[in-house]
Amino acid sequence: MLKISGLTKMFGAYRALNVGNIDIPRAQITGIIGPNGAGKTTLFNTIGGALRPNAGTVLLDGGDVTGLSPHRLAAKGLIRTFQISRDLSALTILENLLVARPGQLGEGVVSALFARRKIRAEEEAAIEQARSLLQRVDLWRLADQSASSLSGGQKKLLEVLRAMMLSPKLILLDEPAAGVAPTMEGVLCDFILELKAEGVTFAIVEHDMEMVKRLCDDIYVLTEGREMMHGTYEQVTTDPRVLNAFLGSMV
Amino acid sequence: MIGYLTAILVVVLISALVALALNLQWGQAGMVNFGIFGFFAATSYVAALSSLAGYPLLISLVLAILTGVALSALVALVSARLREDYFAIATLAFAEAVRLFLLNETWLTGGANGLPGIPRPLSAYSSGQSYELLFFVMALVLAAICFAFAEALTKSPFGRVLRALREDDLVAATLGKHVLSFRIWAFSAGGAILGVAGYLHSSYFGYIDPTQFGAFVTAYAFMAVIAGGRGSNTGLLFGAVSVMVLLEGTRFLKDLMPFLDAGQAASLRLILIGAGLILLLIYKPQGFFREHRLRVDKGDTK
Repeated sequence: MLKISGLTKMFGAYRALNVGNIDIPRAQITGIIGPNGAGKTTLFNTIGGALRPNAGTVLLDGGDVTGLSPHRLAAKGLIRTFQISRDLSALTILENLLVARPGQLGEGVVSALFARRKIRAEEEAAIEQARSLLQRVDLWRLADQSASSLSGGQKKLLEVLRAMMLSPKLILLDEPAAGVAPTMEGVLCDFILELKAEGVTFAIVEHDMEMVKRLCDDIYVLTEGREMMHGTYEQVTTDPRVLNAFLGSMV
Repeated sequence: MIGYLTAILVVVLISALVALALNLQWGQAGMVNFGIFGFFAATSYVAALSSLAGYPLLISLVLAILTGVALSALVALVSARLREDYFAIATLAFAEAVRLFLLNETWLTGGANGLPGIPRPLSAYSSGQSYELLFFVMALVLAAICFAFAEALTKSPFGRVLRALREDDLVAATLGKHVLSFRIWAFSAGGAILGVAGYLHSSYFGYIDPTQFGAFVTAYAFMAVIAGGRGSNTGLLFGAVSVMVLLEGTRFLKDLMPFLDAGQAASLRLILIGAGLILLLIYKPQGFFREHRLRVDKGDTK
Protein backbone atom coordinates (compact mmCIF):
# COMPACT_ATOMS: atom_id res chain seq x y z
CA MET A 1 0.00 0.00 0.00
CA LEU A 2 2.64 2.50 1.10
CA LYS A 3 6.26 2.07 0.07
CA ILE A 4 8.89 4.35 1.55
CA SER A 5 12.41 4.28 0.20
CA GLY A 6 15.46 6.36 0.88
CA LEU A 7 13.44 9.01 2.69
CA THR A 8 15.71 11.68 4.13
CA LYS A 9 14.93 14.77 6.15
CA MET A 10 17.61 17.21 7.22
CA PHE A 11 17.24 19.85 9.92
CA GLY A 12 20.20 22.00 8.99
CA ALA A 13 23.15 19.65 9.04
CA TYR A 14 21.36 17.16 11.28
CA ARG A 15 20.02 14.12 9.51
CA ALA A 16 16.80 13.53 11.43
CA LEU A 17 15.53 10.90 9.06
CA ASN A 18 17.41 8.50 6.84
CA VAL A 19 15.16 5.57 6.07
CA GLY A 20 16.06 2.76 3.72
CA ASN A 21 12.89 0.82 3.03
CA ILE A 22 9.60 0.67 4.90
CA ASP A 23 6.65 -1.24 3.52
CA ILE A 24 3.17 -0.77 4.89
CA PRO A 25 0.98 -3.58 3.53
CA ARG A 26 -2.73 -3.24 2.83
CA ALA A 27 -5.28 -3.94 5.57
CA GLN A 28 -2.56 -4.44 8.15
CA ILE A 29 -1.36 -2.46 11.11
CA THR A 30 2.29 -1.56 10.91
CA GLY A 31 3.91 -0.35 14.09
CA ILE A 32 6.82 2.05 14.25
CA ILE A 33 8.65 2.08 17.54
CA GLY A 34 11.92 3.50 18.73
CA PRO A 35 13.47 5.49 21.56
CA ASN A 36 12.77 9.22 21.94
CA GLY A 37 14.36 11.22 19.17
CA ALA A 38 14.50 8.25 16.80
CA GLY A 39 12.60 10.21 14.17
CA LYS A 40 9.19 8.55 14.41
CA THR A 41 7.16 11.73 14.38
CA THR A 42 9.49 13.24 11.79
CA LEU A 43 8.76 10.21 9.63
CA PHE A 44 5.02 10.84 9.94
CA ASN A 45 5.44 14.57 9.34
CA THR A 46 7.44 13.85 6.23
CA ILE A 47 5.01 11.26 4.84
CA GLY A 48 2.01 13.36 5.89
CA GLY A 49 3.08 16.54 4.13
CA ALA A 50 3.83 18.71 7.16
CA LEU A 51 7.53 18.53 6.25
CA ARG A 52 9.16 18.20 2.84
CA PRO A 53 11.71 15.42 2.48
CA ASN A 54 15.19 16.23 1.17
CA ALA A 55 15.40 12.96 -0.70
CA GLY A 56 13.60 9.68 -1.19
CA THR A 57 10.21 8.59 -2.41
CA VAL A 58 6.87 7.69 -0.94
CA LEU A 59 4.56 5.60 -3.11
CA LEU A 60 0.89 5.17 -2.28
CA ASP A 61 -0.65 2.33 -4.29
CA GLY A 62 2.19 2.77 -6.76
CA GLY A 63 1.56 6.50 -7.24
CA ASP A 64 4.23 8.97 -6.19
CA VAL A 65 3.02 11.08 -3.26
CA THR A 66 6.42 12.35 -2.09
CA GLY A 67 6.26 15.84 -0.63
CA LEU A 68 2.63 16.46 -1.45
CA SER A 69 0.81 18.96 0.75
CA PRO A 70 -1.57 17.54 3.38
CA HIS A 71 -4.77 18.44 1.55
CA ARG A 72 -3.61 16.63 -1.60
CA LEU A 73 -2.62 13.57 0.42
CA ALA A 74 -6.06 13.59 2.01
CA ALA A 75 -7.63 13.58 -1.43
CA LYS A 76 -5.51 10.53 -2.28
CA GLY A 77 -6.67 8.73 0.84
CA LEU A 78 -3.80 9.28 3.27
CA ILE A 79 -4.78 10.92 6.57
CA ARG A 80 -2.77 11.39 9.73
CA THR A 81 -3.70 12.04 13.33
CA PHE A 82 -1.58 13.84 15.88
CA GLN A 83 0.36 12.80 18.98
CA ILE A 84 -1.37 15.47 21.03
CA SER A 85 -4.98 15.29 19.90
CA ARG A 86 -5.89 18.25 17.80
CA ASP A 87 -9.61 18.46 18.13
CA LEU A 88 -11.35 21.48 16.66
CA SER A 89 -12.50 22.51 20.10
CA ALA A 90 -14.91 25.29 19.17
CA LEU A 91 -16.83 22.88 16.96
CA THR A 92 -19.19 20.24 18.24
CA ILE A 93 -18.27 16.58 18.01
CA LEU A 94 -20.64 16.15 15.10
CA GLU A 95 -19.24 19.23 13.33
CA ASN A 96 -15.73 17.84 13.77
CA LEU A 97 -16.83 14.91 11.65
CA LEU A 98 -18.94 16.83 9.15
CA VAL A 99 -16.12 19.20 8.34
CA ALA A 100 -14.03 16.24 7.25
CA ARG A 101 -16.47 14.98 4.64
CA PRO A 102 -14.92 15.56 1.22
CA GLY A 103 -16.46 17.14 -1.85
CA GLN A 104 -19.19 19.15 -0.19
CA LEU A 105 -20.90 21.64 -2.47
CA GLY A 106 -21.80 23.86 0.49
CA GLU A 107 -18.15 24.67 1.05
CA GLY A 108 -18.17 27.06 -1.89
CA VAL A 109 -19.37 30.59 -1.19
CA VAL A 110 -21.62 30.87 -4.22
CA SER A 111 -23.30 27.50 -3.80
CA ALA A 112 -23.59 28.07 -0.05
CA LEU A 113 -25.73 31.09 -0.89
CA PHE A 114 -27.74 29.86 -3.85
CA ALA A 115 -27.94 26.06 -3.82
CA ARG A 116 -29.59 25.80 -0.44
CA ARG A 117 -31.81 22.80 -1.17
CA LYS A 118 -29.02 20.69 -2.62
CA ILE A 119 -26.88 21.55 0.36
CA ARG A 120 -29.55 20.51 2.80
CA ALA A 121 -29.73 17.07 1.16
CA GLU A 122 -25.94 16.88 1.19
CA GLU A 123 -25.87 17.80 4.87
CA GLU A 124 -28.37 15.10 5.71
CA ALA A 125 -26.23 12.49 4.00
CA ALA A 126 -23.16 13.78 5.83
CA ILE A 127 -24.94 13.68 9.20
CA GLU A 128 -26.07 10.13 8.46
CA GLN A 129 -22.49 9.05 7.77
CA ALA A 130 -21.24 10.81 10.90
CA ARG A 131 -24.02 9.31 12.98
CA SER A 132 -23.28 5.75 11.98
CA LEU A 133 -19.61 6.30 12.86
CA LEU A 134 -20.35 7.99 16.18
CA GLN A 135 -22.82 5.30 17.17
CA ARG A 136 -20.18 2.64 16.76
CA VAL A 137 -18.17 4.08 19.63
CA ASP A 138 -21.10 5.37 21.66
CA LEU A 139 -20.34 9.04 21.04
CA TRP A 140 -23.54 9.92 19.20
CA ARG A 141 -25.24 10.84 22.46
CA LEU A 142 -22.58 13.57 22.88
CA ALA A 143 -22.79 14.78 19.27
CA ASP A 144 -23.95 18.28 20.22
CA GLN A 145 -21.22 18.87 22.74
CA SER A 146 -18.09 20.82 22.14
CA ALA A 147 -15.14 18.61 21.24
CA SER A 148 -13.13 20.20 24.04
CA SER A 149 -15.38 18.46 26.59
CA LEU A 150 -14.13 15.01 25.59
CA SER A 151 -11.62 12.97 27.57
CA GLY A 152 -8.17 12.26 26.16
CA GLY A 153 -9.20 8.85 24.89
CA GLN A 154 -12.41 10.10 23.35
CA LYS A 155 -10.44 12.78 21.52
CA LYS A 156 -8.22 10.09 20.01
CA LEU A 157 -11.34 8.22 18.95
CA LEU A 158 -12.72 11.43 17.49
CA GLU A 159 -9.59 11.86 15.41
CA VAL A 160 -9.92 8.36 14.00
CA LEU A 161 -13.62 8.90 13.28
CA ARG A 162 -12.87 12.22 11.62
CA ALA A 163 -10.33 10.51 9.39
CA MET A 164 -12.88 7.77 8.57
CA MET A 165 -15.24 10.42 7.18
CA LEU A 166 -12.86 10.62 4.21
CA SER A 167 -13.02 6.85 3.60
CA PRO A 168 -9.21 6.74 3.66
CA LYS A 169 -6.92 4.01 2.41
CA LEU A 170 -4.30 4.62 5.06
CA ILE A 171 -4.38 6.31 8.45
CA LEU A 172 -1.20 7.34 10.22
CA LEU A 173 -1.81 7.26 13.96
CA ASP A 174 0.73 9.19 16.02
CA GLU A 175 0.78 7.74 19.55
CA PRO A 176 -2.86 6.79 19.90
CA ALA A 177 -2.32 5.63 23.49
CA ALA A 178 -0.75 8.89 24.75
CA GLY A 179 -2.95 10.50 27.40
CA VAL A 180 -5.55 7.75 27.21
CA ALA A 181 -7.03 6.04 30.29
CA PRO A 182 -6.50 2.24 30.36
CA THR A 183 -10.18 1.33 29.84
CA MET A 184 -10.40 3.71 26.91
CA GLU A 185 -7.25 2.18 25.48
CA GLY A 186 -9.13 -1.10 25.13
CA VAL A 187 -12.03 0.61 23.37
CA LEU A 188 -9.63 2.36 21.03
CA CYS A 189 -7.76 -0.87 20.22
CA ASP A 190 -10.98 -2.75 19.54
CA PHE A 191 -12.17 -0.03 17.23
CA ILE A 192 -8.91 0.14 15.31
CA LEU A 193 -8.95 -3.67 14.90
CA GLU A 194 -12.55 -3.47 13.66
CA LEU A 195 -11.57 -0.92 11.05
CA LYS A 196 -8.62 -3.07 10.02
CA ALA A 197 -11.00 -5.98 9.51
CA GLU A 198 -12.97 -3.71 7.21
CA GLY A 199 -9.88 -3.13 5.09
CA VAL A 200 -8.41 0.10 6.45
CA THR A 201 -4.62 0.19 6.59
CA PHE A 202 -2.85 1.74 9.58
CA ALA A 203 0.63 2.84 10.47
CA ILE A 204 1.10 3.50 14.16
CA VAL A 205 3.81 5.25 16.12
CA GLU A 206 3.50 4.04 19.70
CA HIS A 207 5.44 3.78 22.96
CA ASP A 208 2.86 1.71 24.80
CA MET A 209 4.10 -1.83 24.12
CA GLU A 210 0.87 -3.45 25.30
CA MET A 211 -0.94 -1.61 22.55
CA VAL A 212 1.75 -2.41 20.00
CA LYS A 213 1.45 -6.07 20.95
CA ARG A 214 -2.31 -6.07 20.57
CA LEU A 215 -2.45 -4.16 17.32
CA CYS A 216 0.59 -4.52 15.15
CA ASP A 217 1.13 -7.20 12.50
CA ASP A 218 4.58 -5.95 11.63
CA ILE A 219 6.86 -3.67 13.60
CA TYR A 220 9.67 -1.44 12.42
CA VAL A 221 12.25 -0.31 14.95
CA LEU A 222 13.64 3.12 14.28
CA THR A 223 16.84 4.43 15.82
CA GLU A 224 18.63 7.63 14.94
CA GLY A 225 16.44 8.15 11.92
CA ARG A 226 16.97 4.71 10.33
CA GLU A 227 15.03 1.50 10.46
CA MET A 228 17.11 -0.97 12.40
CA MET A 229 15.00 -4.07 11.89
CA HIS A 230 11.46 -5.19 11.43
CA GLY A 231 9.45 -8.22 12.38
CA THR A 232 6.67 -9.47 14.62
CA TYR A 233 6.25 -8.39 18.22
CA GLU A 234 8.13 -11.49 19.46
CA GLN A 235 10.99 -11.07 17.02
CA VAL A 236 11.40 -7.42 17.82
CA THR A 237 11.17 -7.67 21.60
CA THR A 238 13.69 -10.47 21.85
CA ASP A 239 16.27 -8.96 19.53
CA PRO A 240 19.33 -7.90 21.55
CA ARG A 241 20.00 -4.93 19.26
CA VAL A 242 16.54 -3.57 20.00
CA LEU A 243 16.92 -4.01 23.75
CA ASN A 244 20.25 -2.28 23.44
CA ALA A 245 18.76 0.68 21.62
CA PHE A 246 15.99 1.13 24.15
CA LEU A 247 17.77 0.36 27.39
CA GLY A 248 21.38 1.13 26.61
CA SER A 249 24.08 -1.54 26.46
CA MET A 250 24.50 -3.91 29.35
CA VAL A 251 27.98 -3.75 30.73
CA MET B 1 -34.16 64.90 17.87
CA ILE B 2 -35.39 62.59 15.06
CA GLY B 3 -32.47 63.88 13.03
CA TYR B 4 -30.00 63.09 15.83
CA LEU B 5 -31.50 59.64 16.36
CA THR B 6 -31.49 58.63 12.70
CA ALA B 7 -27.96 60.01 12.40
CA ILE B 8 -26.84 57.84 15.28
CA LEU B 9 -28.69 54.84 13.93
CA VAL B 10 -27.09 55.21 10.49
CA VAL B 11 -23.67 55.47 12.13
CA VAL B 12 -24.47 52.38 14.19
CA LEU B 13 -25.48 50.48 11.04
CA ILE B 14 -22.29 51.45 9.24
CA SER B 15 -20.08 50.42 12.14
CA ALA B 16 -22.11 47.23 12.53
CA LEU B 17 -21.37 46.43 8.87
CA VAL B 18 -17.64 46.94 9.42
CA ALA B 19 -17.89 44.66 12.45
CA LEU B 20 -19.86 42.12 10.39
CA ALA B 21 -17.03 42.01 7.86
CA LEU B 22 -14.49 41.61 10.65
CA ASN B 23 -16.55 38.82 12.16
CA LEU B 24 -16.30 36.83 8.94
CA GLN B 25 -12.61 37.53 8.51
CA TRP B 26 -11.37 37.34 12.08
CA GLY B 27 -14.32 36.01 14.08
CA GLN B 28 -14.68 32.95 11.91
CA ALA B 29 -11.70 32.56 9.62
CA GLY B 30 -9.20 33.76 12.24
CA MET B 31 -7.64 36.36 9.94
CA VAL B 32 -6.73 39.35 12.08
CA ASN B 33 -7.54 42.39 9.97
CA PHE B 34 -6.08 45.39 11.79
CA GLY B 35 -6.14 47.26 8.49
CA ILE B 36 -9.86 47.01 8.03
CA PHE B 37 -10.10 50.82 8.00
CA GLY B 38 -7.95 50.88 4.88
CA PHE B 39 -10.37 48.63 2.99
CA PHE B 40 -13.26 50.71 4.32
CA ALA B 41 -11.54 53.91 3.16
CA ALA B 42 -10.88 52.50 -0.31
CA THR B 43 -14.49 51.42 -0.84
CA SER B 44 -15.77 54.75 0.53
CA TYR B 45 -13.60 56.67 -1.91
CA VAL B 46 -14.62 54.53 -4.87
CA ALA B 47 -18.28 55.01 -3.96
CA ALA B 48 -17.73 58.76 -3.56
CA LEU B 49 -15.84 59.14 -6.83
CA SER B 50 -18.40 57.21 -8.83
CA SER B 51 -21.28 59.12 -7.25
CA LEU B 52 -19.46 62.36 -8.03
CA ALA B 53 -18.99 61.16 -11.60
CA GLY B 54 -22.77 60.95 -11.80
CA TYR B 55 -23.32 57.21 -11.54
CA PRO B 56 -26.57 56.21 -9.84
CA LEU B 57 -26.91 54.43 -6.51
CA LEU B 58 -26.77 50.86 -7.75
CA ILE B 59 -23.71 51.32 -9.94
CA SER B 60 -21.77 53.15 -7.22
CA LEU B 61 -22.76 50.50 -4.74
CA VAL B 62 -21.67 47.65 -7.00
CA LEU B 63 -18.38 49.40 -7.77
CA ALA B 64 -17.73 49.83 -4.05
CA ILE B 65 -18.49 46.15 -3.43
CA LEU B 66 -16.25 45.03 -6.30
CA THR B 67 -13.45 47.21 -4.93
CA GLY B 68 -13.84 45.64 -1.51
CA VAL B 69 -13.79 42.13 -2.95
CA ALA B 70 -10.87 42.74 -5.31
CA LEU B 71 -8.63 44.44 -2.73
CA SER B 72 -9.42 41.82 -0.10
CA ALA B 73 -8.76 38.95 -2.49
CA LEU B 74 -5.48 40.54 -3.51
CA VAL B 75 -4.27 41.16 0.05
CA ALA B 76 -5.35 37.67 1.14
CA LEU B 77 -3.69 36.06 -1.89
CA VAL B 78 -0.38 37.73 -1.12
CA SER B 79 -0.41 37.47 2.67
CA ALA B 80 -2.75 34.72 3.87
CA ARG B 81 0.12 32.21 4.01
CA LEU B 82 1.64 34.28 6.80
CA ARG B 83 1.15 33.37 10.43
CA GLU B 84 -1.73 35.12 12.19
CA ASP B 85 0.32 37.94 13.73
CA TYR B 86 2.33 38.65 10.59
CA PHE B 87 -0.85 38.69 8.57
CA ALA B 88 -2.24 41.35 10.94
CA ILE B 89 0.85 43.48 10.30
CA ALA B 90 0.47 43.03 6.55
CA THR B 91 -3.12 44.31 6.65
CA LEU B 92 -1.99 47.29 8.70
CA ALA B 93 0.69 48.05 6.11
CA PHE B 94 -1.93 47.84 3.38
CA ALA B 95 -4.16 50.31 5.24
CA GLU B 96 -1.26 52.71 5.66
CA ALA B 97 -0.55 52.47 1.93
CA VAL B 98 -4.18 53.32 1.22
CA ARG B 99 -4.04 56.27 3.59
CA LEU B 100 -0.90 57.65 1.96
CA PHE B 101 -2.40 57.18 -1.47
CA LEU B 102 -5.55 59.06 -0.49
CA LEU B 103 -3.51 61.83 1.11
CA ASN B 104 -1.08 62.34 -1.75
CA GLU B 105 -2.92 61.61 -4.99
CA THR B 106 -4.63 64.98 -4.78
CA TRP B 107 -5.77 64.94 -8.43
CA LEU B 108 -8.03 61.99 -7.68
CA THR B 109 -8.86 62.11 -3.98
CA GLY B 110 -8.56 65.79 -3.09
CA GLY B 111 -5.76 64.89 -0.64
CA ALA B 112 -6.21 66.22 2.88
CA ASN B 113 -9.12 68.40 1.73
CA GLY B 114 -11.12 65.30 0.94
CA LEU B 115 -14.05 65.02 -1.44
CA PRO B 116 -16.94 67.39 -0.74
CA GLY B 117 -20.41 67.48 -2.26
CA ILE B 118 -20.96 63.75 -2.77
CA PRO B 119 -24.50 63.44 -4.16
CA ARG B 120 -26.95 61.81 -1.78
CA PRO B 121 -28.92 58.91 -3.22
CA LEU B 122 -32.73 58.97 -3.49
CA SER B 123 -32.72 62.71 -2.78
CA ALA B 124 -35.20 63.21 -5.62
CA TYR B 125 -37.86 61.47 -3.58
CA SER B 126 -37.66 63.28 -0.32
CA SER B 127 -35.99 66.10 1.58
CA GLY B 128 -35.37 67.43 5.06
CA GLN B 129 -36.18 65.24 8.03
CA SER B 130 -38.11 62.69 6.03
CA TYR B 131 -35.03 62.26 3.83
CA GLU B 132 -33.05 61.30 6.91
CA LEU B 133 -35.64 58.66 7.61
CA LEU B 134 -35.62 57.46 4.01
CA PHE B 135 -31.84 57.16 4.08
CA PHE B 136 -32.03 55.24 7.32
CA VAL B 137 -34.53 52.81 5.80
CA MET B 138 -32.26 52.31 2.78
CA ALA B 139 -29.30 51.71 5.08
CA LEU B 140 -31.37 49.30 7.12
CA VAL B 141 -32.37 47.30 4.04
CA LEU B 142 -28.77 47.10 2.80
CA ALA B 143 -27.55 46.12 6.25
CA ALA B 144 -30.25 43.46 6.51
CA ILE B 145 -29.13 41.97 3.19
CA CYS B 146 -25.52 41.92 4.38
CA PHE B 147 -26.59 40.33 7.63
CA ALA B 148 -28.52 37.61 5.81
CA PHE B 149 -25.47 37.06 3.57
CA ALA B 150 -23.13 36.69 6.55
CA GLU B 151 -25.59 34.49 8.43
CA ALA B 152 -26.03 32.18 5.43
CA LEU B 153 -22.26 31.78 5.10
CA THR B 154 -21.85 31.24 8.84
CA LYS B 155 -24.37 28.45 8.94
CA SER B 156 -23.21 26.75 5.75
CA PRO B 157 -20.53 24.08 5.43
CA PHE B 158 -18.31 26.94 4.22
CA GLY B 159 -18.59 28.66 7.61
CA ARG B 160 -17.85 25.36 9.31
CA VAL B 161 -14.60 24.98 7.38
CA LEU B 162 -13.64 28.55 8.33
CA ARG B 163 -14.12 27.80 12.02
CA ALA B 164 -12.17 24.57 11.61
CA LEU B 165 -9.19 26.27 10.05
CA ARG B 166 -9.36 29.05 12.62
CA GLU B 167 -9.03 26.39 15.33
CA ASP B 168 -6.22 24.52 13.62
CA ASP B 169 -5.26 25.04 10.01
CA LEU B 170 -2.97 21.99 9.90
CA VAL B 171 -5.87 19.76 10.90
CA ALA B 172 -8.08 21.40 8.27
CA ALA B 173 -5.37 20.75 5.67
CA THR B 174 -4.96 17.17 6.87
CA LEU B 175 -8.69 16.72 6.29
CA GLY B 176 -8.25 17.77 2.68
CA LYS B 177 -9.18 21.45 2.86
CA HIS B 178 -7.33 23.95 0.70
CA VAL B 179 -6.64 26.42 3.48
CA LEU B 180 -5.41 29.32 1.34
CA SER B 181 -8.40 29.32 -0.96
CA PHE B 182 -10.85 29.24 1.95
CA ARG B 183 -9.01 32.19 3.50
CA ILE B 184 -9.18 34.17 0.28
CA TRP B 185 -12.92 33.54 -0.04
CA ALA B 186 -13.59 34.48 3.58
CA PHE B 187 -11.56 37.64 3.33
CA SER B 188 -13.26 38.64 0.09
CA ALA B 189 -16.73 38.00 1.48
CA GLY B 190 -15.82 40.41 4.28
CA GLY B 191 -14.58 42.84 1.63
CA ALA B 192 -17.97 42.75 -0.09
CA ILE B 193 -19.66 43.85 3.13
CA LEU B 194 -17.06 46.60 3.55
CA GLY B 195 -18.08 47.80 0.08
CA VAL B 196 -21.63 48.33 1.29
CA ALA B 197 -20.36 50.04 4.44
CA GLY B 198 -18.15 52.33 2.34
CA TYR B 199 -21.01 53.25 0.06
CA LEU B 200 -23.28 54.12 3.00
CA HIS B 201 -20.54 56.08 4.72
CA SER B 202 -19.66 58.32 1.80
CA SER B 203 -23.22 58.88 0.63
CA TYR B 204 -24.53 59.59 4.12
CA PHE B 205 -21.93 62.16 5.11
CA GLY B 206 -21.62 63.68 1.65
CA TYR B 207 -18.00 64.52 2.43
CA ILE B 208 -15.03 62.27 3.05
CA ASP B 209 -11.42 62.87 3.94
CA PRO B 210 -8.61 60.57 5.12
CA THR B 211 -9.02 61.44 8.82
CA GLN B 212 -12.39 59.66 8.90
CA PHE B 213 -10.58 56.36 8.38
CA GLY B 214 -8.20 55.90 11.27
CA ALA B 215 -7.21 52.98 13.45
CA PHE B 216 -10.22 53.83 15.66
CA VAL B 217 -12.45 52.22 13.00
CA THR B 218 -10.56 48.97 13.54
CA ALA B 219 -10.78 49.41 17.32
CA TYR B 220 -14.55 49.89 17.31
CA ALA B 221 -15.04 46.91 15.02
CA PHE B 222 -12.95 44.66 17.26
CA MET B 223 -14.79 45.96 20.34
CA ALA B 224 -18.14 45.20 18.75
CA VAL B 225 -17.09 41.66 17.77
CA ILE B 226 -15.48 40.92 21.13
CA ALA B 227 -18.42 42.30 23.14
CA GLY B 228 -20.92 40.44 21.01
CA GLY B 229 -19.05 37.16 21.10
CA ARG B 230 -16.55 36.22 18.42
CA GLY B 231 -18.21 34.37 15.58
CA SER B 232 -21.78 35.37 16.40
CA ASN B 233 -23.45 37.71 13.90
CA THR B 234 -26.36 38.44 16.22
CA GLY B 235 -23.91 39.16 19.00
CA LEU B 236 -22.01 41.76 17.04
CA LEU B 237 -25.20 43.72 16.33
CA PHE B 238 -25.59 43.92 20.08
CA GLY B 239 -21.88 44.74 20.36
CA ALA B 240 -21.99 47.48 17.73
CA VAL B 241 -25.03 49.08 19.38
CA SER B 242 -23.48 48.98 22.85
CA VAL B 243 -20.17 50.40 21.64
CA MET B 244 -22.03 53.26 19.98
CA VAL B 245 -24.24 53.82 23.03
CA LEU B 246 -21.09 54.04 25.12
CA LEU B 247 -19.42 56.40 22.66
CA GLU B 248 -22.44 58.65 22.27
CA GLY B 249 -23.68 58.33 25.83
CA THR B 250 -20.37 59.43 27.30
CA ARG B 251 -20.72 62.68 25.32
CA PHE B 252 -23.14 63.75 28.02
CA LEU B 253 -20.57 63.20 30.77
CA LYS B 254 -19.81 66.87 30.69
CA ASP B 255 -23.41 67.70 31.68
CA LEU B 256 -23.21 65.33 34.62
CA MET B 257 -19.87 66.59 35.78
CA PRO B 258 -19.74 70.31 35.02
CA PHE B 259 -16.45 70.69 36.89
CA LEU B 260 -14.62 68.97 34.00
CA ASP B 261 -13.41 71.02 31.09
CA ALA B 262 -13.88 69.77 27.53
CA GLY B 263 -10.44 68.21 27.30
CA GLN B 264 -10.80 66.34 30.57
CA ALA B 265 -14.28 65.10 29.62
CA ALA B 266 -12.99 63.77 26.31
CA SER B 267 -10.15 61.94 28.06
CA LEU B 268 -12.49 60.53 30.68
CA ARG B 269 -14.70 59.22 27.87
CA LEU B 270 -11.84 57.27 26.38
CA ILE B 271 -10.84 56.00 29.83
CA LEU B 272 -14.38 54.75 30.45
CA ILE B 273 -14.52 52.97 27.10
CA GLY B 274 -11.12 51.36 27.72
CA ALA B 275 -12.14 50.32 31.21
CA GLY B 276 -15.38 48.88 29.84
CA LEU B 277 -13.49 46.74 27.33
CA ILE B 278 -11.07 45.52 30.00
CA LEU B 279 -13.91 44.60 32.37
CA LEU B 280 -15.58 42.77 29.52
CA LEU B 281 -12.43 40.80 28.74
CA ILE B 282 -12.05 39.86 32.41
CA TYR B 283 -15.61 38.88 33.20
CA LYS B 284 -17.05 37.86 29.85
CA PRO B 285 -14.13 37.00 27.57
CA GLN B 286 -16.35 35.04 25.18
CA GLY B 287 -18.71 37.98 24.79
CA PHE B 288 -22.45 37.92 25.32
CA PHE B 289 -23.50 35.58 22.52
CA ARG B 290 -22.25 32.18 21.40
CA GLU B 291 -21.28 31.43 17.84
CA HIS B 292 -23.39 29.21 15.65
CA ARG B 293 -23.44 25.54 16.52
CA LEU B 294 -25.18 22.74 14.78
CA ARG B 295 -27.97 21.10 16.77
CA VAL B 296 -29.36 17.75 15.71
CA ASP B 297 -32.23 15.62 16.83
CA LYS B 298 -30.80 12.55 18.51
CA GLY B 299 -34.24 11.26 19.44
CA ASP B 300 -33.77 7.66 18.33
CA THR B 301 -30.89 6.89 20.69
CA LYS B 302 -30.87 6.66 24.44
